This record gives sequence, C-alpha cells and structure tokens, in this order.
Amino acid sequence: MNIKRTGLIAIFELQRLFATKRGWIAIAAFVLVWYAILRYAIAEAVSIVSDPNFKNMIQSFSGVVGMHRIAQWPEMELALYLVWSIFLFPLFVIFSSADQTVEDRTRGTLRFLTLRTSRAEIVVGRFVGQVFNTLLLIAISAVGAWILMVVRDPSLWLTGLSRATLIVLELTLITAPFIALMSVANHFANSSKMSMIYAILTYLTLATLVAFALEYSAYAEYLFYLFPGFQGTETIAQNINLTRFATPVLHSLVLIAISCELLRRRTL
Amino acid sequence: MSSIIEVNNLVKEYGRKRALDNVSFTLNAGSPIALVGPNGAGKTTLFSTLCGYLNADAGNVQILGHKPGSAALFGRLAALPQDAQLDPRFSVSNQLRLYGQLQGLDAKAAERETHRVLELVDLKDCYHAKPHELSHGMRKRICIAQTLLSKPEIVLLDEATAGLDPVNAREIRNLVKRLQSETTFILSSHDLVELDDLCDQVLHLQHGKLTAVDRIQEAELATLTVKLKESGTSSHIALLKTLQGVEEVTVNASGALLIEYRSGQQVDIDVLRLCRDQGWRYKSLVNGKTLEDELFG
Repeated sequence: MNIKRTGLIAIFELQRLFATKRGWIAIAAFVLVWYAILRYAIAEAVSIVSDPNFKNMIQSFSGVVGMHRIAQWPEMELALYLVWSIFLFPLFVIFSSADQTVEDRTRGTLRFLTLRTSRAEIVVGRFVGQVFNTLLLIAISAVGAWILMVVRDPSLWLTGLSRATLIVLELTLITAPFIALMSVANHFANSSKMSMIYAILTYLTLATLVAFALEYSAYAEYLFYLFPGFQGTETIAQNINLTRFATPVLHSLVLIAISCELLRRRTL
Repeated sequence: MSSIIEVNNLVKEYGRKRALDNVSFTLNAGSPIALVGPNGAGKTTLFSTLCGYLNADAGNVQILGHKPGSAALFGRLAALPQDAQLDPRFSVSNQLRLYGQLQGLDAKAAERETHRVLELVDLKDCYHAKPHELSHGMRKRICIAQTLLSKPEIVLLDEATAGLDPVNAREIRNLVKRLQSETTFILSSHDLVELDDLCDQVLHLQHGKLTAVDRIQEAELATLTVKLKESGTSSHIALLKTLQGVEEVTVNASGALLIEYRSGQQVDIDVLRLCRDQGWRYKSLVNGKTLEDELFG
C-alpha cells in the first residue's frame, strides 16, 4: 500500500467536508444541533445535578449503571457531554460516513480512480479521511462543552481542556468501527441511503438475535464483543482495560480488511 | 514494433452467456486501434478487463508486461469508461489535480498538467466549473482530458463520441489524430464510419469472438471504393471492368462500387476519367475499402 496515495485520498475526504458547499451546510447543521444539546440539555442538566441533594441521589443511582466515576468529575459538562456523545456519535457517523465508495461506484468515478490508485488504498484512504472528519467534528462539539464549563467555572479551564482532549480522542476511537462498518455496507448497497438502512437493520437484527440467544445460553453474551461500540459502557464506567481501547481498534481493522477484500473482488 | 497488450484465451461469462469466448490478440504501439462490434458483442467487457474493472474467468492479459489493475500501470494506462462521471461536488480542476497527484506528480506539476489537458480538449475556461454545470459534450471532453494527464502510453476510449453532436465528435477524432504519435489509442465504438479514417488496426468482436483486421497489410489486390450519386448498377460494373488492371467490381450494401485491381497499378485516374466521360456524378473516391466493407463485405 502506497502511503502517499492513501494520504491524498484521505485529504480529499477532508476537502469533501470542509471545502464543499454541501460540507459547509452539514457542518452548520451539526453546530446548530450541538448548540441546542449543549444549551438546552447539558447546561440545564448541570444546574440540576450540581445541587448537593440531587448529586447524592444520582451517585447512588449512577453506581448501578457504572457512572459513579464520571459523576464525580468537577467538569460536569464534560461528563454529561461524554454520556450524550457515546450514544449520539456512532449514530451520527452512520449518516456522515454513509458514502465512502458507493456513490463513486454507481457514478463510475471509481473507474477513474482505480487506474491511478489501488482499491485497498481507496478504501483505507476514505476510511482515514472519514475518521479525521469525525475527529474534527467531535472536537468542535467538545470545544462547545468546554466553553460551557469555563463559563460556569473558569478555574476548570485547564483540567477541562486535557479531559476534553482525551474525550475527543476516545470518541473518535469509539466511532471508528462504525465508519469501517459503513465502508463494508457500501459494498452491499447502490446508494448511501441504502447503505445506512442496511447497516442499521443488520446491526439491530443481529443484536436482537444475540439478546434472544441469551435466553438459552449465557455464553451468547460473548457474541456482543463482535458488535462495534459495545465497549461504550466501559468508557462510561471509566474502566481502564484492554476491552475499552483495543476492541474498537480490532473492530476497525477487521472491518476495513473485509471492505478491502470486497472491493478487490468487485466488478466496477 | 513493441507489443503493448497481449491477450491469450480470454473467457468471461455472465451466467450462461459467454461475453468473451477465447479471445486472443496482440497489439503493438502505434496508430489508433479500433475495437468494433455490434451492441452486446463484448466490447465493454473486453475493455473493462483490460482496465482491471472486472476479472476474467479464464485466460491471461498482459498490458505493458503487467496484469490489469497492477500498480505498475498507474499513469501508464488511462481510460474513458463508458458512462463514467466525475464527482459532481468538486470542480473539474480539483479532480484532475488529484488524479495527476495520484499518478505521481507533485502539486505544481499536477496543476500544470490540469491546464494542459483542459487546453487540449479546448475547455480551459471550465477550470473552476463543476461537472454538473457543463453540457453532456463538455463533460465527455473533460473525461477525455483526464485520460491525457501525464501523457500515458495507452489510452482506451470506450464509445468516446456516443451521444455527442457532430462537431464535438469531430473534435475528439482530431484530438486522437493529433496525439497518436505519443500515445496508442484504442477506441471502442459501433460506429464504423467514425473509426474508418483513424484506425489501421481493427479488433472486430461479434458474439464474444474476435477477428483482427490489419488494414495496412500489403495485399495482392488493392481496392478503390467509388460512391456515385446513384447506386452502382450492372452497366457501371461492366464499364469499370474494361479498365486496365481492374480484376473485379462489386456493389456493396450502401450502393458504392468496390473496384479491386492489381496492387501497383494506377487505376484511380482512369476511374475518374470514366466518370467524367460517362457523366457519372461521384460523391467520393476512397483508396481502400471502408471499414464496414472490410468487416462485413
């Protein structure tokens, strides 16, 4: 695999978001949605949970769902932002990265590209580009949460900044397998919309089947390790273990390898 | 002459239909090569196999000594695939620059190449345009422009003039003529007239089978094709046969007279003189057969 060509493909993906009209509209919509979440959900929630009585109650409750560590963070905005993001961003990237190769394939643009770069470089380059796009968008929203926190308590700006940086990196790691999943879904559909539908349907159907299998065997629980994003609970619990960090990497690598192989075999 | 493409016993099947049936040929660098055949003959399948867009079921293909799709061919083989379009969200120049850079050019060289190829297809004003802002003919020319980046050794054009008006089609033919000294063009089309004066070598595909025709091969008999205002008749044939050196005269499907004569004889002046003496008004006199007559005559 040629790093330079892969890099060029990745940079072109960045341009798709940050240098096209459609990309700017998407960013504007993203910023507005996060403004609404931060202003009306997170800021309001912080004023409620900062009440000492409520805090005691939520501590006892959060222990049950594994939130006792982040519930103790003085940077409450970031704690709430993390909980929101863990559920929202995987869903978001299913939409934002739905078109990695599918539209280019149906339009024939991939035929121009494959005379200049290998199919694997296209898959990996697009994936890397999408991961960077997602990182930048996560960073934009995290900066919003950080500003919200600094407005409430300016003394937290530095600890909040380092915590926000770690959150951005971890959220990117969490979303990476979903981007890779969309790369795979692109090979089974003829449009980005159909890719999204296939990915969501497949994910939910398999999750339901595993949940059903759990009724018959406790070992079926291990099947959840195959699902991208399952380790999100480890992040919320702030457990330091291999599952939390290695699983999304492994999921991404396996899914991208599958995507490369599918495109390699495919007629363009 | 160096061989640029070698194809041996190529087979491709779609279900029960055999699109390519043991196709074998060798092509040398040089003047443009025509890939002709009716719709469904297997032209696009062969074209796609050469470009590495699809894998053959059997057989072997070597392009410049490499397998189709090999990284060694990046920048050396370019193609205009049928119906392929550029990304509508990016400007023409943006995409051409990317293609240039993927072919190994640095940013500045890719920029220069983008200007050069846009000028070649007479679309330098479309540098900032997005593909959807252009007409069908302009989009096609832009797609041809991308094939010319970095002067590749082989350019495959699949139905390059399909759907174009005569002026645009002529522009593309002229471009091929102009660049044939530096690049070997392979043109796929079912329009024989279009390829007639461009190509010396013809690959004729029919029902997946191939026949190669070398149009400049020295033959014992040469041919003149005379198209009169009216269709050729037996009286035309009889009079033409009286000319010295003429061996055979026939009338083709479009009514033109095919005069076969011994190579080395000068028959054309005699034919023109006969036309004048007999008051036959001729529309054209072609040295050789038309491509249509070569393939189907």
